[in-house]
Amino acid sequence: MSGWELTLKQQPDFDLDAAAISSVATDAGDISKISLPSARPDLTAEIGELFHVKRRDDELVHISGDLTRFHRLGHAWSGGSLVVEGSVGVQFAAQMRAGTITLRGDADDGVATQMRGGDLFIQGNIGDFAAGPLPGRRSGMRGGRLRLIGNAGHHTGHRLRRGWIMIRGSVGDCLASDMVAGTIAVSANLGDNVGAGMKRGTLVLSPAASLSSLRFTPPRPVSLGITQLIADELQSHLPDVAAMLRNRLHRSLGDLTAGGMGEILLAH
Amino acid sequence: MTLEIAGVPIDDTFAEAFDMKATRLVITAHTIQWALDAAIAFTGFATSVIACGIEMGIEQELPPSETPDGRPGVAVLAFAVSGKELEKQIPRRAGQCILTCPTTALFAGIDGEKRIALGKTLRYFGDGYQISKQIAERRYWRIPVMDGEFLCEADTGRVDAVGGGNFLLLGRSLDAVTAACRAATKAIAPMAAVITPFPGGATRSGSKVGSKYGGLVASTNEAYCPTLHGVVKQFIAPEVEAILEIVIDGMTPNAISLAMRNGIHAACTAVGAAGLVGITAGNYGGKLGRHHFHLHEVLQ
Repeated sequence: MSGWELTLKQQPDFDLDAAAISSVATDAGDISKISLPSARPDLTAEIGELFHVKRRDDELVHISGDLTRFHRLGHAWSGGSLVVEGSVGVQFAAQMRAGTITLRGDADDGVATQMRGGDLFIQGNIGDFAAGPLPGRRSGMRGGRLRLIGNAGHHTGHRLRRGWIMIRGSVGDCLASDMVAGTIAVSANLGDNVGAGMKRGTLVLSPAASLSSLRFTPPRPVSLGITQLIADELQSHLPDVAAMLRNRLHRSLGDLTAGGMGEILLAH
Repeated sequence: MTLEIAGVPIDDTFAEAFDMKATRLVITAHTIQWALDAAIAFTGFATSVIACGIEMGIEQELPPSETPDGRPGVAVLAFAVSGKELEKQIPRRAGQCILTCPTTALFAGIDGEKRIALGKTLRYFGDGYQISKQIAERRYWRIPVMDGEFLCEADTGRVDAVGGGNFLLLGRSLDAVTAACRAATKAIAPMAAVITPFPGGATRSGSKVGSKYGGLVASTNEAYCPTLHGVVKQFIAPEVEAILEIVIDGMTPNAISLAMRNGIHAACTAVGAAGLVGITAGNYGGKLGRHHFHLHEVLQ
């Protein structure tokens, strides 16, 4: 692994596909020549034109600046650590596979799209369709962990297939829509239509949720062995939700209109 | 060289033990009694691989702080001659003895590259209502049952281990050898990584390989049957009235060694020379098992 310090010189006046930046983690050579394409073939930029590039003594890749025009940053990240200081464009950490990514800033839509593994930690707010599938694909996030300190937009966890999403903030409408499996925990407020189309998987909701009686079974008290293990997993990021899980719980199952058997765990 | 403990002579011989495959499981429940009930059923009819296919025993009780789900639990060790036999025995027994026991959950108790299915097999009892949950690289299955859910880890590790460590208590009387035996098994019981799979930790039916009857793989070891004194060739003194054998399976040779040492010390000091004529060990001339536990070395 190679360590790099990339400091943005100034924000470009066009949007860039920054997926290629992920390759610097394994590139010990001259990364300043790596080209970042844009939507227009005549507009590309090399890393060296955009950033002050400096080698680091450690194996961390550290990128800073206003990166809102840099999309797909952290794409398919496969190992090592990436730290980003500043807000980023769409599909941040999409198809991430392994390693750790930390973002200190906000992210646009499509965070962790089809993420497959690794640990993604975001201190900021994120847009819609986090952890969802790429357009036209059936499954969203399939593994790994997304921890968020901040708020998430609509359709968070859409078609989530596996993995964990922990949100220390509020979420928009349609949380876990069409969720297939995996676990999502939320500690602040919820939008409408929670779990619409949910097939399987677990939602752990600390805030009061108003669930459609058509879609979900009436909440009933349960005592489940798995909740202790889920609480242990959530303890460091969502201690309030973990505490809720260690007490008596209610559970609803659904979405019944979709033939689903997903579970929503709620405070008693 | 003569070696005595509390006046009891220790034979200069060795116990012959064998390579085995083993696993460790953790059973938890709402109360320790339910966990023990499940563990006792699970480890029943598992005294010897000769006819049970597996040797099992309760390793230790676990406080809630040491179990995955924070409930009281029991750790169980299981040994078999092959990984295939473990894979056959464990899910079958878990399905009948742990899944059925109220409030229990079942977890892997050891890591290992080779795996033995637990929930991976038992999940089908859920008939489509089972739920999978992956937490920290471990997969669990949740099977709806009448008291809630049976939580079961998908699989457990399988490791190489050792079975058949042993020592024989040569008693002057049934009372004395019983007391010595109980002292030995009591000393071994709290030890980690070992079990004594026979009833009460001991067996009276020490066996030799083969039989005069075709098809029998093991038969009574007449050389250690006091009632046949004078009839067959024996190596035991005439004053020996009863013999009990402690058999020990362990996760490592060192664990067996330590258990033999503690057990022999406890037996000798419990009844002394007035109760025991001596201590010896069972072997097959060193030709069958590659682990040789020499009593004098173990007791050093």
